[in-house]
Amino acid sequence: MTDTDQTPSAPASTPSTPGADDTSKRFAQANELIQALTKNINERLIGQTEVVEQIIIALLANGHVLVEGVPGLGKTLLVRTLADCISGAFSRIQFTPDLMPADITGHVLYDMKESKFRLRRGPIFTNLLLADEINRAPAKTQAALLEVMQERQVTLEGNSQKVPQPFMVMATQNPVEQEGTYPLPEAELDRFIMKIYIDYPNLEDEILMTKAVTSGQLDSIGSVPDSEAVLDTEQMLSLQALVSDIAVDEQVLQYAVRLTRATRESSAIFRGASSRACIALIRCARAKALLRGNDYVLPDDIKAMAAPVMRHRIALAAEVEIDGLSPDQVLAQVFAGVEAPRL
Amino acid sequence: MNLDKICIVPRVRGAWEAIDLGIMLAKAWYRDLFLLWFLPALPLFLILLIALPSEWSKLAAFAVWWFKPLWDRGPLHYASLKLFGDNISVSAAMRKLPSIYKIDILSSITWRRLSFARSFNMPVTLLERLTGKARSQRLGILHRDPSSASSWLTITLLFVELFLYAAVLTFLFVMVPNYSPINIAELFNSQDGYLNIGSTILLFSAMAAVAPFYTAAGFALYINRRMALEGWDIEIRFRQLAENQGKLSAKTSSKSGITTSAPSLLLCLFTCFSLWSFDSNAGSDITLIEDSPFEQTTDTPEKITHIHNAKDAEKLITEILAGEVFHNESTVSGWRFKDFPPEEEIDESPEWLIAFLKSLADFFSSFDGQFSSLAGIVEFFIWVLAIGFVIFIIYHYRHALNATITSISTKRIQTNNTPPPKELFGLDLREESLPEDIPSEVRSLWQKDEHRAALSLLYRASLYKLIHEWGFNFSEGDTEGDCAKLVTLQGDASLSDYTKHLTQCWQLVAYAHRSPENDAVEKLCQQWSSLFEKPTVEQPGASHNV
Repeated sequence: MTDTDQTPSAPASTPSTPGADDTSKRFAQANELIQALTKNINERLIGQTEVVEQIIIALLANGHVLVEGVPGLGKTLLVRTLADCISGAFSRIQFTPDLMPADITGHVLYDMKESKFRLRRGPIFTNLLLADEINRAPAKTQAALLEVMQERQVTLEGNSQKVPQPFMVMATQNPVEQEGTYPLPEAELDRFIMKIYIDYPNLEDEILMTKAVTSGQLDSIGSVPDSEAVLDTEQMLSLQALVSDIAVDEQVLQYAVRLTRATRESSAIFRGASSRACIALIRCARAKALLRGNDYVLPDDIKAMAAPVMRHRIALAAEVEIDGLSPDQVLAQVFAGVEAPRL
Repeated sequence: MNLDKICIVPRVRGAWEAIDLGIMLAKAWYRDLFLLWFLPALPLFLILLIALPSEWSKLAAFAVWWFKPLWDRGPLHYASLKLFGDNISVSAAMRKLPSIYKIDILSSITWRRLSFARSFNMPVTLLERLTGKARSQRLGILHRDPSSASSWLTITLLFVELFLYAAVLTFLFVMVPNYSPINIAELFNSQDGYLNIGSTILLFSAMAAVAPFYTAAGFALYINRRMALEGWDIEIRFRQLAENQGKLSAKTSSKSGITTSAPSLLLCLFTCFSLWSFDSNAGSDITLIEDSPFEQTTDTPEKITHIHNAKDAEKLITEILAGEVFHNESTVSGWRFKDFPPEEEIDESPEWLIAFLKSLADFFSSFDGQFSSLAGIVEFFIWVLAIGFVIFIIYHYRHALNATITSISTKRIQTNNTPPPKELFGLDLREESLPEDIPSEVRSLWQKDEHRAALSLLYRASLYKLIHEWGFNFSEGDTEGDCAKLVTLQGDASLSDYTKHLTQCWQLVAYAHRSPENDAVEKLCQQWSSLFEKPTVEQPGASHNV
């Protein structure tokens, strides 16, 4: 059961403004689209409902996601499936140790026939970019994503080139303990709106998935024959705009700030979350509220999103790492001490 | 007491050197001294530790600390025997403890308990068995020299105890990872049962570890003082010389003249010192007790012989001093400074002060000789000042003290009954902050269009009931959703439905700034009465902590 299931929609309320009906209608339509998208992905990626929910939240919040898990759990499939469900341009870059920044962003080359320089755009000029196994490339190549992730543009030969909208980087990575991987720079990590852990599915889901693949219902790479896109890029942009309209009460906003600041005050955390984390938290909480079908953010939304938003932005103290505690465990301890809003 | 068997080098030492000697003695006999302190103190400590509530367990350590004058007696008795070559076992010393503890017990654990020179004074009580005026006079003589050292010994070792206690706690704290919620202040001041008991046991262990050093160092100071006063070192040396001379005399009895005159002279000198030793003992009015380790200081036949020869010795010494050896005259010339007569020091004490003190002395001398000396008068005034100061402090801080005592007793009641919080999430959860009839008040506020206030009251009242009557424990970090989930987990369908619905209505008004429909609020009011206004028999959520 996901958090969305646990939090029922709001009770009927007395309309307060004349435009409330229009708003309700927009939210209802948005909810339908999101439900369809969720259903579509869950049909292909079995047993990862929470991960699917989080990646949709990131998409709605107009952020980039980092998906981490051991090989063979469907990280690439998840991103490919999302790309299939949205009728936009999709590119995939397999990060390798010899990958160069120009292989990502593109480059300018001299056309001998026309005797002029021509711009060859890299795979980054797309709507959905799958940066597969991003931590297999060295930091120099990883840094090629910094500009585009933050400013949605690429500078080539001194000229800024806008990437198409919506734009989302979905990076996958294996745990850094594995051989041949490089840790991502902090500046890049901070640009991912959330980090999603993908774990092994439970027994029933794994049986169901194995049965679906071996019976031909799903092919070996998880794609569904004759699958259609659920959303186009325009709908995606309107959903993202709708997220920005979701109300955030002052108390809820302060709660988000308190949670972020608490990570900077804990002795278990060597480096706390940045202000960008706080902004990302509000955006994700808004997206979650939309996913819940409401047009206002609850403290529960903030709390639910706090760990995915902050887990990759903090650096644990050395002794905590030695003790084998995960960032999620430490964050749970920290958040438990932050007073939730009431009145 | 047999001085010949003393196991230390007999010489007069400085006070700090004597304390060092005591520390060395304690190190040599540490196991036995420790057991003689620890084993008698342990039963009292354990009984109090078990009998008292955990938050009062420090009282067990305090009781052991207060009765230290008793626990220190076993090690002192043992050390006094071992020092003079008596190989007493721990079990034998333990058997003696009841009789040792009885000696002057009341004063030891009452008005003399806080004496800074306790370890130094204890041998006078325990080994010389002096009481009353005789004890005071004896202490007056003994305290002329090392009393400040004995006070510093007490202060230093008290700090050593505290350092030991703090060091172990700090060590544990250092070993606890940083991210753990445990902190050192909590360990020191914790009301938590196990932490409190653990720190009390540490305190007791620190006292037991330091006690042998304290007792032995105080005893060494005492022995050193007696050596200085009674010339034990000289006596022992002369005894050894006399013994050696006796052996030599037997072998060379044919020899005469000057070879015999020197031992005779030494013997005479020894006799003189013995006499002086007796005099000093007599002056201090020491009453020697039969079973005291220090009983064998006098009355050996050898000494009686010396007493009979004392007049002859004195005569011989006078003759030698009158001889030519001590009357050689010689003329020496050279430069030197002139001798000027020193200026007479002017007594700066005003006459009126002297007269006042004299009159005071006369006044106090009428009280059975208790204030016969000037020091006694000063001591009396110091005591009066000290008591007055304590009374002043108590009076001045009476309100703070009263508040502290009240808070301690309140905390105790709270700990015993695990009372629910009065405030949570910034909400006032006291019963008196809520109106009598919640639904009526909510309806009234709702009709006045104070929707937020109405639902806020209903939500607060529900939280109050959930916490106080249903036994739910919510933490500060719980959101409304977390609270509702917790109630759902408890399993009462009607309660969880109500809480969920109320939470949604409250969230709508609080975070969306929209009011729920009137019917929804009316329904909540009705359900509130049926859910919370009936007596609750059991508290299923009482054991359910967040």
